[in-house]
Amino acid sequence: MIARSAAALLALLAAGRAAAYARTISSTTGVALAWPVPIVPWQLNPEWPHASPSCAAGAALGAVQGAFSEWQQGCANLQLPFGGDSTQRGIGALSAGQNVVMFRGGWCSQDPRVVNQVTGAILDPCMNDPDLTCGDLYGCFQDPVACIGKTSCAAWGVVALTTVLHDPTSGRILSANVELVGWDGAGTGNALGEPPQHGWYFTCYATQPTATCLNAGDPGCCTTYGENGCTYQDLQNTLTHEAGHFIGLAHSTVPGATMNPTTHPGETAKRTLSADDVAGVCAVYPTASGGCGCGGGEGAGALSLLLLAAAARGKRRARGLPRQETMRLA
Amino acid sequence: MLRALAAALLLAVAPARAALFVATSVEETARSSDAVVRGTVVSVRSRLAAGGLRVLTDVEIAVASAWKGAPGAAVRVVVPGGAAAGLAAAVDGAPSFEEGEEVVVFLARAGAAWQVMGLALGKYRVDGSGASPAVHPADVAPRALARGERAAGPMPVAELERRVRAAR
Repeated sequence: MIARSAAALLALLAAGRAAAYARTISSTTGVALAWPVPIVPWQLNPEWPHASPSCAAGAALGAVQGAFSEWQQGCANLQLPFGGDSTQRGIGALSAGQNVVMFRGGWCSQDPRVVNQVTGAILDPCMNDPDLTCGDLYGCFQDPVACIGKTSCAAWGVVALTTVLHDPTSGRILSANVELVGWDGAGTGNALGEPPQHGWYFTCYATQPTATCLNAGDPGCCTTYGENGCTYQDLQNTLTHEAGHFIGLAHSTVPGATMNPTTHPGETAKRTLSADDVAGVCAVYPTASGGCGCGGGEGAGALSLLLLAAAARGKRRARGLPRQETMRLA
Repeated sequence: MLRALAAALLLAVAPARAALFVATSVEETARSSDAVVRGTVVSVRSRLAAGGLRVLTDVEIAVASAWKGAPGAAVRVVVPGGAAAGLAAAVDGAPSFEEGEEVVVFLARAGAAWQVMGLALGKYRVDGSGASPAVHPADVAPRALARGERAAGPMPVAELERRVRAAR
């Protein structure tokens, strides 16, 4: 407790000088983003049929909870409680009102519901139309047609993406969603390549079973899909970084900071915030003012949600999707 | 109509994306792409995606030379993000373009249009004899690459062309 308070104090002092943390800026207005309220619940879409053995249900939730709770610092007026399960798979404007962590099952080019994996034929036009996205429909991560039939593709370098929906005028964040590009369940026993053909192999140990996995190929690192008792892309490590984006922080140039984007298999250091990260969250959500002071009424947000829902219904009709599909889009 | 109404009343609800990338090499990006071109950005126009509230930007590029493939004299590249009809989407990790900008882009076919392979890792800005990708090197996690290959990053445009043309 004393150590954490001291770290927070140091962080605040650092924030008063030239802080290295960065905030996400709205590209159209230059306004920095922040949640307008101090309590921001998040949900988890638990649909993750091909999690690694160490990420079985409870372990994955524990990793996600650990990631968000790390940002609840004593010097910050911000709480990020678990808000329960969600079935949402969509992102962007259609997801307003929910803040969901979701697992994508590999790349859409490798999904047999989207692409015939024998002939390479595209089975859903969402794969070949930049106006559409297969990810929201099939729970895969959208990649280009050019990746079909390949065992390595440059587009597979993305590990996770966080989308923050906001009002660019005020900077008020309306919702945020985190996509993690997980394993698609195929290729059990196949080597874990980089970039990975079947998605990133996340592991979820509360305590790492080995400390020797520092880079892919090291002893202790998983080498194949489905392998247990080894470490690879630590889920909590990745999600603590993404949770920083969730609250409006951008990448930091400070080596070792959670918001520094550099990572490697086996890394767990980002599970714990650095002084730079603490300085960031405490500057954006100071306890004294009780929030970001972004302003703006809640009525506008409610109106936006109603309109988004109406637009979502219109989109479903436009695509001619059956009712079951529309439920998955909402 | 519904889309226009929603967009107008939403006023600008903008998604901003942040990415965590793992490095790819120039050669790997070239191998993955259907075409690689050097050219000049002629126009940049944002729009709402058909049937939804996503914002996309159409980028027209006049092709000066094709280092891989035969895409023709001009290409229309669709990138996520932009601002249209009062709706703005800032997508961190996606490339942005400016009219008049000289670029090298790694392209993947998307119907009648093209997409940038590897998001920001697939677009370089040409400035004199140098070329720089649309992502800061610090935002890309390093990893071991194949022998002789070079990670995406600032380099002479001549070297970029040589590496693309030699990629197998």
